Amino acid sequence: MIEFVIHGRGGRGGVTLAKLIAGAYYRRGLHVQAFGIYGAERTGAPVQAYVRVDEREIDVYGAIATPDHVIIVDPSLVSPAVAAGERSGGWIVINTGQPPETFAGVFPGRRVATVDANAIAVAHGLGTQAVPIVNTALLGAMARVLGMEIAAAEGALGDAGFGGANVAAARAAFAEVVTTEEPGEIAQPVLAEQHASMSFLDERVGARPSTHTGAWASRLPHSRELRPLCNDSCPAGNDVRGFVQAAAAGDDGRALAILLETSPFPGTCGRVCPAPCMDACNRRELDGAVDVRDIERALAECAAWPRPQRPSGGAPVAVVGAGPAGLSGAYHLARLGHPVTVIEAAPELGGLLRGGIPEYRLPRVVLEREIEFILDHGVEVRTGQPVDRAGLRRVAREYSAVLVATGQQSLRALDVPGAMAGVVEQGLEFLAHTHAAAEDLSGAAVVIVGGGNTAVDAARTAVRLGARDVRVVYRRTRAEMPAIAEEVDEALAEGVVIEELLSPAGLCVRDGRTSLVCRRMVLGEPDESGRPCPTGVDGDEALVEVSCDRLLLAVGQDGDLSLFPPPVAPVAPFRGPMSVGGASAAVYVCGDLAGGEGTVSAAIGSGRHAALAIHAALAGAEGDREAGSLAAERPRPAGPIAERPEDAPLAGPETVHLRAFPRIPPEPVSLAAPRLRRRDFAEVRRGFAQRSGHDPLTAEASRCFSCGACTGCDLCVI
Amino acid sequence: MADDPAQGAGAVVTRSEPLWRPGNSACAGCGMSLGLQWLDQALHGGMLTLVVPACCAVATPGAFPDSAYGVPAVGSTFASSPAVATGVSRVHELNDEPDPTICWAGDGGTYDIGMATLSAAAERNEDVIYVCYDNEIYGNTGGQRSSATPAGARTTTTPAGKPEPKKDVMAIMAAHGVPYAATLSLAHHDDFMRKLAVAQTTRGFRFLLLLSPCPAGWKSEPADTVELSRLAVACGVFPLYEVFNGRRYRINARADGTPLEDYLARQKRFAGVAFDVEAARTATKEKWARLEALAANFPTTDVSVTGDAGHLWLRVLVEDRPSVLARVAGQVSRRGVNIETVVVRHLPDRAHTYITLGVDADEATAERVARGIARLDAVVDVEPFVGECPEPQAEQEPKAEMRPDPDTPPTVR
Amino acid sequence: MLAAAGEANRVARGCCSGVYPITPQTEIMESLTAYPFTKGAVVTVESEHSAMGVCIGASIAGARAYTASAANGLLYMTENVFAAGYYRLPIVLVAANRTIGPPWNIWVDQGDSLALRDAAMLQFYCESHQDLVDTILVAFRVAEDPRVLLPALVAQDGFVLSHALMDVDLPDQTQVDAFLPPLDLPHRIRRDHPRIYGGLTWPRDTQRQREDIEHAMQAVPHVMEGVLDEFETVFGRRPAGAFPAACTDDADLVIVACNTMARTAMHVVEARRARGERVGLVRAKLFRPFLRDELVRALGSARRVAVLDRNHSPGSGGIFWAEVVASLAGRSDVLVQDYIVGLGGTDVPHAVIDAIVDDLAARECAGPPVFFEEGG
Repeated sequence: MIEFVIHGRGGRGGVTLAKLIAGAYYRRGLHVQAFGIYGAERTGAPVQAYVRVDEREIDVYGAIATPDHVIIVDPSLVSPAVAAGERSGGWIVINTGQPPETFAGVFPGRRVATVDANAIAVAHGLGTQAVPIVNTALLGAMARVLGMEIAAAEGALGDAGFGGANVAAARAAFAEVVTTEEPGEIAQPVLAEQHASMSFLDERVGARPSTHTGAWASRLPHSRELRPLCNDSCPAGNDVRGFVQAAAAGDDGRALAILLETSPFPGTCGRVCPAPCMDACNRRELDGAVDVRDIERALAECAAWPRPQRPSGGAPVAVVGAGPAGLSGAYHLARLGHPVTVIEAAPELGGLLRGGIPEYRLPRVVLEREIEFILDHGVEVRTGQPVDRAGLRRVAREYSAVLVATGQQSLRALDVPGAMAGVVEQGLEFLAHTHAAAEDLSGAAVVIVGGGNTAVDAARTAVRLGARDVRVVYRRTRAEMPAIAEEVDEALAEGVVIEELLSPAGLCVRDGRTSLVCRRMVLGEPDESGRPCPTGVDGDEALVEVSCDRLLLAVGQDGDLSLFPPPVAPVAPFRGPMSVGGASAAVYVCGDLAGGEGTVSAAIGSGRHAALAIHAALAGAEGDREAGSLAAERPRPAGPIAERPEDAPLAGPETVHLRAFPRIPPEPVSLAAPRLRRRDFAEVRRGFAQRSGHDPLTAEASRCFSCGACTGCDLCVI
Repeated sequence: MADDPAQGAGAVVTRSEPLWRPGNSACAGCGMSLGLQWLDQALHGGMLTLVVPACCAVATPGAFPDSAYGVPAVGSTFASSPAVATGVSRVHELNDEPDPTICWAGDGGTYDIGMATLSAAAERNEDVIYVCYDNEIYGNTGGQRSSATPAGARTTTTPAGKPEPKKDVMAIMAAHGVPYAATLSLAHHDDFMRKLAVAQTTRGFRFLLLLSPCPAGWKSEPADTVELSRLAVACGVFPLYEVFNGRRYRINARADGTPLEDYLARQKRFAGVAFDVEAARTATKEKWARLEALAANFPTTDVSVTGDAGHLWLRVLVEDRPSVLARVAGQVSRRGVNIETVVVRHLPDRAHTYITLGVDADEATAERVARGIARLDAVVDVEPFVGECPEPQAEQEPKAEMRPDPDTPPTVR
Repeated sequence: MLAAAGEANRVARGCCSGVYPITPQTEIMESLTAYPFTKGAVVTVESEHSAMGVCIGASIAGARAYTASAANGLLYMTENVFAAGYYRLPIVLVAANRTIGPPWNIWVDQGDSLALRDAAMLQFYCESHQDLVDTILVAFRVAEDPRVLLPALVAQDGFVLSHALMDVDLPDQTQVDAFLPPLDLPHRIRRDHPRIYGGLTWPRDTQRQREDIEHAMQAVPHVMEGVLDEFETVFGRRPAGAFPAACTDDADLVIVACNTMARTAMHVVEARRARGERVGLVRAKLFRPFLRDELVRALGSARRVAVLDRNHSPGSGGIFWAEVVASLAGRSDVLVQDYIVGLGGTDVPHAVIDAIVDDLAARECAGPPVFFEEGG
């Protein structure tokens, strides 16, 4: 008697294969028996099938324990146990693309053959890609290793009513099966490990992986939350998915509370943040990123703000500088129970938020509201008090810790030959004084050098002050401009012209009119910032003149490190602690001064990280700066994998089944008409367009895929 | 003997266990399995008793002593689930237990062997939610034809494609006049959740038909389950609609011009047979014509007052939008009718609300008012009736609790 | 009495019944639907299959559940009767024995309930209205005992009993309440302890579950003894046990019969005894479990046994006879003869039984089952 065992998986055709093998022997006049043993198995579950062949009538029933030949339909079922017994010399036929030598060690004394029946079945359109039906291909392979003619397999197929692609698949496998006569070594532990790792539901998410359910039939899969790209990209550390989902659920209050855990500036960021979360949004490719910025803005406007908590018991901390980083640090320190005093050189709080961002982007009332919210946490304020090196030493003696967030006060100059007084001005200074007293630029041609938000802000402010001709000169192209893309769009709509690929070379006066001479540039290889490096074009024809009554410089600024004893190297996101002049208090640095990337949200995140580090140090905690993390205090998602959210793998676009979502364009936002906004400093972006009976906030938040959040749909088990 | 004190008869019990635990043995891409997860979401953690006939939903939770169900689940004989659910539901009622009894049955148990039992339970208007997960095949036995199998589909018992069209079970259930009947799609999550919310808020027999793609039987890619659900709706073969009291039809999603071939091409059950696409298209068109006619004047086709004794009520199901209550009330007051009571009950999906108005009017006026209300775009259903207020008295509030109107200036802090 | 038993559970989870009419059981369901339950529901379903389905759902939910049927109704219900047993639900099913059709015949024949003999269900056969009333109460107590937890069928002769009016000592609700405690089904649906009822089982677990059922059946005699004691305390009378016997202590010839035929046979026994013949009677009241040892004890000294079967298993013979023969396995000293009588409601009068006794007395050895008719 010859006995076969087929180790298959539900839906792959193992039981039919048993019948086909039996059929091939029956045609040779032998007695045969073929049957499967299965209960309620579904696609992918392990299933066994058996074949007996004998010259006499077969009168044994039941499972076969020691088969002559073994067919393994799925390589994940390979184990020494499938070839138990003393029947040496039999064949082990495995459906795999790997060579037979890979498995020889598992089956000493057996002959091993492999054939990639999955590929053959898919190529012949048998079954689906996820669940190819491999039985007819494996029959061809069996015919070959058993020394039959292909005609025997074809005959068995014909008897069973199979033709066409099934016969072709059998022929292909007959030709492609690879065998080894060489007995291998004793079981390889490597293979066993592979087998084990295949059995866990780890990172198998995304479209159309192969079917694995069977291997998991006896295991309990655990769900794992992935980290959404938006959260990962937020420099402020906001739980973007968290607040957007809360808003989608209609719980605006909770959404705002989630935001306020990381940032006291939702109304500000909801207006001025470049929103890297939206660049990272997985929805972007389908029908446009979720408008996180306007959701944040709407929450700050509509949701009920919580009453500030004022815990106590901490040690006094001074914060030097009341820009976004300093105020964020002060806010978080106060929430952690430390009495905080903010010391600011200017008469008012806000730093660049107040002086560097025009009113039409960030109405002062919004800023005032959020500063007031921070101060309501019990933060003391001392304005009009510049702090120099000696001052810092005094402060460090007075407080338990000092956080310095004085930003970048040194504005980068540009060496423009021919410059004269009254023509060239720093963009940031221009922006600051246009707030104080509006200047009339009627009829003037204004040129701004730079490509960042300050440049665009200065250009749009100049438009509002009546300038006749406003041009932004930038040495790269628009695509490389660091300014927020929407802001650039709006500037263009307001009449600002962007002069790309020009680098200022000097000012000249001709016929009583000033103009800026620029050199044409071309883009070269990417520099260390990742952007293409512009290089000047040679020759006189490479020079261009741009008419220019006023020249505003917006080419960046640097931190004033004179406060500290040298040497100091910038380290993001914050720096410290250091000792200043032998004072007892540790001094920390955050924000742009610490080398931040220059956005409000980065400053907020930097301030928060510094606050957490100060808190941890003052509380005597370990060095882990996240030890006192507010984020860590939130309950973690339930599940057997105890990992910190920040350690979870990212939920990239491959984890989202885009086809499962209908296309829903983003909610429209309301913009003031360019014609109107050229005249005054009223806010340009007005948030979501309102329609009667429609709730744009919930609607837009509902577009969020909630990437990485496990819904338990089990589709990843595919 | 009293109930366990811990259970507190009459109290709503919430559970921490999922309804459908991981580790079940459903095939990859099983629509039913996904449907159970969605059912769980729609119940918001509320307790329930499932009654499941001998189908995939009993085979996939696993074998004794394990079960993937995190709720009480009765595996009934094949034809019996509506009868067994009747028994469970009646005893829940006798004991003031609010847990819904939910039948979760395949198309075999619904369209075929269980049809008589289903019809009888529907006719008795038992307090049961019946969900048919329709995979258009006898999936548990390996894919034989059922009366839910569409024309042209290849099954193990129709190797050349099924000659007969799919039975219209929704029409049959609507003909029973059940309080609520609706179709569900696994590609329309909000719609699914809303319908489950309406079903949970309605008493009596509720019939829900879920199109449940079966990769093993449809010979489709497991990853295409949601896509197939969407295509079935988009090309019109599976209309999303709901029927209130067997009379008021409302279409929830119309075909968007997606070619039928897009749906068929992803399923090999339609390949290799002589499939008449034109005939299928015509049949779909005819089905839509019938449906559109039924829904044409929704819901004004029938807003006649039902019931005979008690107070006159207008029960209005609305989308929970700002100022809807005011607009509904406006329709009442513009006909000079006084509102005596307003009872507002939010549905568990938080997106819909039942507004029940006690009105002082004659029946003819009430019907006119109902027609006016029906024309408001946020209104899903209107039912004028004479009887007792269907809402629990505890839910009564003098004023509706609606989300703030965004037209009014936002207040900060 | 079903209603009173249900009403007795009003302090627990109430009672619930699914009912569907079939002659000769219809009057039972009509009276149930009219009963003013304090905490009960009677569901008028569309078939016997669903009647038992409703009982299953109600019982799993913890209520006392019961129904009634007959003949083809019982057969239509069969799948769910088996299910009720395997769910271990103490549902009481009253059967008005009736001939299975077609051709249609509404008169008495025990073939319907005996066709359910392989279900996991107790079976009682009653000889009178009083016996029926008492046995229903006993059946609830035994079925609901935690050592048993199986459904119970209580059979009566269709028409002969079901449509006859006779005087009965009907216990009042207070007495029933005293006898029948509230039902606390240990495995009922509990919201805090979700279980699956009727999921999948593997072969070995299935065999173990069947073995558990056999253990439950074996517990019945002991449980029933205690129940009958309590019944006697509450009601002042003692219903019959598994095999009530008369005049068997010294009998040479014993008749085994059930239901009303046993009453008739008793008259024959009394008449023969008056003539000095040593004739006795064993009434088969409890058919499942079939207590073989008790039967052998009840038969006493008998060397000739006539089994009267108002049923017929084609190709085998009478169903009671097969059980009696199995009980007497190895007893070559006892001659057991099967008499198939009264099929399809044919009256079984005194004379027929008299003739059977004569026939048996004259036999030298047992023959195949005999279809016995008056004058035959």
